[in-house]
Amino acid sequence: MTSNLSCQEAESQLERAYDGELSSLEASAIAAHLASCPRCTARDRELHEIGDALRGAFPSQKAPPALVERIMEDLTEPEAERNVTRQLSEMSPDNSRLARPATRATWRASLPRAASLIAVASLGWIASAELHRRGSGDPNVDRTPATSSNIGAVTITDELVASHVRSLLANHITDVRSTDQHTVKPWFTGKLDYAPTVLDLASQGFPLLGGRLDYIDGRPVAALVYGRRKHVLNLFVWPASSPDADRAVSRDGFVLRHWVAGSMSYWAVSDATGSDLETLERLYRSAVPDSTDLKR
Amino acid sequence: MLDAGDLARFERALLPHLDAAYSLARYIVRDPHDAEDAVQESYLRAARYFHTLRDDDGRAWLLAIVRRVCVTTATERGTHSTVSIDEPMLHLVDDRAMPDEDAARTIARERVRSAMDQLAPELRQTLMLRELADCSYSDIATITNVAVGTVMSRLSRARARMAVQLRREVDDAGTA
Repeated sequence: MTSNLSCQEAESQLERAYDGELSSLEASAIAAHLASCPRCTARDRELHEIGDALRGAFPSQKAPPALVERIMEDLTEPEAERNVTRQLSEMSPDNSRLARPATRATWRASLPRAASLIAVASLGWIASAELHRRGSGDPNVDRTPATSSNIGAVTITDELVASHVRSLLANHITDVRSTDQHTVKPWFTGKLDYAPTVLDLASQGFPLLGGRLDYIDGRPVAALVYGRRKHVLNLFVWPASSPDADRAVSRDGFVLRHWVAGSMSYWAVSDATGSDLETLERLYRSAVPDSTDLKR
Repeated sequence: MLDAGDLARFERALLPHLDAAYSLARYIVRDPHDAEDAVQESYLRAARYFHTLRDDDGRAWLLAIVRRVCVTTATERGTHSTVSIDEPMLHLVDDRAMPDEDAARTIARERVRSAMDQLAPELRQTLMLRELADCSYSDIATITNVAVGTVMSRLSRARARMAVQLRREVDDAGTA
């Protein structure tokens, strides 16, 4: 057993010894040195004092029992309902950013954060989808609609997907957070020169999460945000400028679905499944007077 | 999200570290509510990526997730409100419940906290992970995504500064 470490050698290892990063052989050499060296002993004591002071100043925190429950719920509950319940229980119009719910037991995750969860989880592939999209000409999308007047299909799907992605990445899914169609609809008044139909489809599995003002094709448009299992759906609505063919497009993992109902043009965008969007379309069609719908 | 077998493994591997995860979250984001949210989010992510965890010691793996979530949260907060990770972390612990006779100890604690506040965030986090979360060098390297050598030099610097600060404060207290 070597006890003849020089002070210099010992000093260079004191910290690692204190941190338990030395082999037992090295550690005992240090211990032996300390026994005979007041200077190194003082340094060693200082390390202990700093550690003790820190542990005294920052006592370890016991996780609240409610947190365990929340986590266990997350793990056992299907992801779908969880996100939706979380978002729904949290949202009340206008005060969501300011007010903290009084009780700690409530789910406090507000929509942007729940959404950031989703966004972050899929960040990697969304980002790569974006890159891929930009990089390629994306022949898939050029199924040119015969009609759209001032709207090129490429532009519009580009913009829609970009807007959808942006809303997730920038944590800016909704401007008005409400599950209540009667809150969301009036919110658009004064911001748009038309009144989008806003349906509450929670009972059909599309809980309304809120609304957002977006900018597509050079004009402000309404974006209605729905949850669908763990996905977020953006439904863009603006007045139909001309009869336009229905379309279902999928690109880079996103599905887009377009239809015209009433006097409105609808574009739904999501990373949910195409059939989810189809269902959404059906629900909207059945609710919206279909007088000017030229399709089908 | 996890089948029964995975769930059992997940519980075994990660739930024991809940307090450590929560403590770390408290150190970084401070607000207890935010810390809870961050930990919950971290466990969700952990569940989602659980298949990538190779061995059953998930502590460092989990804490790495917690730290990432917390720093993201803190940064986002920083742009939206006044809280940022660089902000002093005074009042991390609620002292109101403490009896009066502990007043002196409270003052001592405040000194330590304010000394920590003066460290650069990466030094502070490294020192906290070592002393408070009891992480090994290689754990800290994993968690903070730097080399072990960097961990060691950060620890040394952090401690040297703490030593200076604490000595100075003891002196101040002595002369006061």
